[in-house]
Amino acid sequence: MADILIIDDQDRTISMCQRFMPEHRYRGPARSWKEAAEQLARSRGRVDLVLLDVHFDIDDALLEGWKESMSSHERDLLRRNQGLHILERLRARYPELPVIVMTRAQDIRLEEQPHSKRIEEYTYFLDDESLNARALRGQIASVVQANQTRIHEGPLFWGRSLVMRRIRQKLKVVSRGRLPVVLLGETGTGKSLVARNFVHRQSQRRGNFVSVDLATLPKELMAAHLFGSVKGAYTGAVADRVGAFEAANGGTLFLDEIGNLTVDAQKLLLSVLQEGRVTRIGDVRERPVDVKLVVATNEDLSERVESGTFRRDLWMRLNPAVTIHLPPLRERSLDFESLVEFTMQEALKRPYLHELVADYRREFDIQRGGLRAFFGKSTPEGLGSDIGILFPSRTMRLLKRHGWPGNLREFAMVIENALLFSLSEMLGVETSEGANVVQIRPRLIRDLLGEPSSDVMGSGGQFQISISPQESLNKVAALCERQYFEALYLREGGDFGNMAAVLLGDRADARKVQLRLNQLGLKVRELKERLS
Amino acid sequence: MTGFADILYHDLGKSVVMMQLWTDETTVQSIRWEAVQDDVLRTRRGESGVLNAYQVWNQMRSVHGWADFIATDLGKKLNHLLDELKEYFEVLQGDCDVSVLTDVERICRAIHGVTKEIRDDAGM
Repeated sequence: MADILIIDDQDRTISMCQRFMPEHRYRGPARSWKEAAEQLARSRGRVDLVLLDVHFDIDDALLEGWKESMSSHERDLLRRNQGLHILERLRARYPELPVIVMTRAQDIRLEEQPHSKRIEEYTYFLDDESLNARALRGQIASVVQANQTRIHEGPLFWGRSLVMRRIRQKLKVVSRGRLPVVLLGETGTGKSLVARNFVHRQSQRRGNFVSVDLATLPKELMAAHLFGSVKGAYTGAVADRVGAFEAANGGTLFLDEIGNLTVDAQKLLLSVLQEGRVTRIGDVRERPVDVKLVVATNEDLSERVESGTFRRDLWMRLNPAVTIHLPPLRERSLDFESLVEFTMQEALKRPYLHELVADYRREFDIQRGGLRAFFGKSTPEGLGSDIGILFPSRTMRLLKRHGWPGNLREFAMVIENALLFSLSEMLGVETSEGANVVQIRPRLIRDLLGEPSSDVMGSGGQFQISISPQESLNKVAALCERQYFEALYLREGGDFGNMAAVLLGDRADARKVQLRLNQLGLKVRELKERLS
Repeated sequence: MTGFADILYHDLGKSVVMMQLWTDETTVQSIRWEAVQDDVLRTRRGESGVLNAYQVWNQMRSVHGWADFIATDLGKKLNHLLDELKEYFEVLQGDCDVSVLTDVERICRAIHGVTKEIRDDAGM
């Protein structure tokens, strides 16, 4: 399912799409660039594709490029070419957003063009020689698929937010050429994956991708590991050894945790970067190397430079001006739906999950198809033979609210476990009704995230509180009462009448229970959210 | 006449078959009927209102190039097709009539074909 924005002065295109291609979601129509820009901003990067008309019969003031001094002929031309002006604005702001312009490529040569309309990557023209409906559907599908492939680029999934798109665009530029790339980000933000599956691929270098984690290398062996050594160079060097630089010759060398470089290794690295040659430890011979260097760090190395623990000249050589900051997952809530889909598909490649899905299909006689993630809806539409993995709104809120100290690595583990437990739970159900939709329940996610569950009371009716010996008796009593009311509310599913029956022996005293809850500072809205 | 031909094709030729291109003889008749209703009675629909196919055709009179165009054989042919189509406007507002359906589909595709030919000729 693609999220498609239609930019057209007419309503019929969107009607046609909704009627005959209901598998996608449509926005618009946006009748001018101004409306389109607003829609795109509101969509927060969720639009996969734009269908753009060329002719726009709209008020002069809404025309992109309109000037009061224009003649009527110029105005007509502007109206007839308005889509191309909009395309130019789209390209400037959203360079990688696929656009299908609803005209033939050769038709844009007919009018006088104020600008050169170079056909760029991500811009497609409709082959309406046949104006074939199937062709349009096929073109939309192939454009969306091509874009998804571009976005995924192997194991790393970029999401749809503007910030990640911009990072990707910047990386695309710096991946070419021989200048080093610096990746800065917390642990688990995908630095290694970016280096391997994006920078190395984009560089189109034919050599190997070699990765070295400097945090795990013994310091005494670091130089030999990176630059190689000859037999006898040090105790234990029983043979010549090829270092990481030579192994990556013609390719890409990824040095993770660059801040862990020893003083000696820093000096040698600087020499390699300056001379383009490496000398193995204990050797005199220089060997030329052509390596695209990518370094990663989770700390601000400029501070290490100031403190003198990292060489300034080396730091400048590493091209810090183009440091790429990979944001932590907690700052990527806009990408969560995309990341859920992506990590889900990656998790399904694991043999044990693959087999579990096969068992599931056999159990409920579901034909072969894929697994698709859905969000918020109670009944996913257009599933066909696919199994819908439903992430309700509450589940997504829990995911987005979590701090994710482990970032993408932690996220992937949670999603994988969520799939495992949810599918397994459904296998235990006797009826096959509704089996083609598997819900990822908020309670499960809460458990996987280690957050307090609704079952505070536990089976033994006990709960724990933390108190300090310095606390007053009154405070301890208040804490106990507060926790008791909280636990009772959750156990009774928010039913004040039931709570009153437990506490006061009479359901009719529900109002007293509610008042006491308020006095204890418990917010009913927050408690309701914890109910699943 | 290049600009005129483009406008004609864009505003009328493509629009008069927009929905019908998603249907064929195997499509349920009620859906085919809805498609021709939309294409013929609501050929262009935007903020300025709804225009049927004949109204779109009439609007072409104010486009530069009309006088030259209408004097050509294809112009006359197209004029005849629109007159023919206009005869069906009233019945199209009612329930599905199979004989009307096939006639209107034929006329719409003919309009599309002629406007496409005009456009292609103008581009050569």
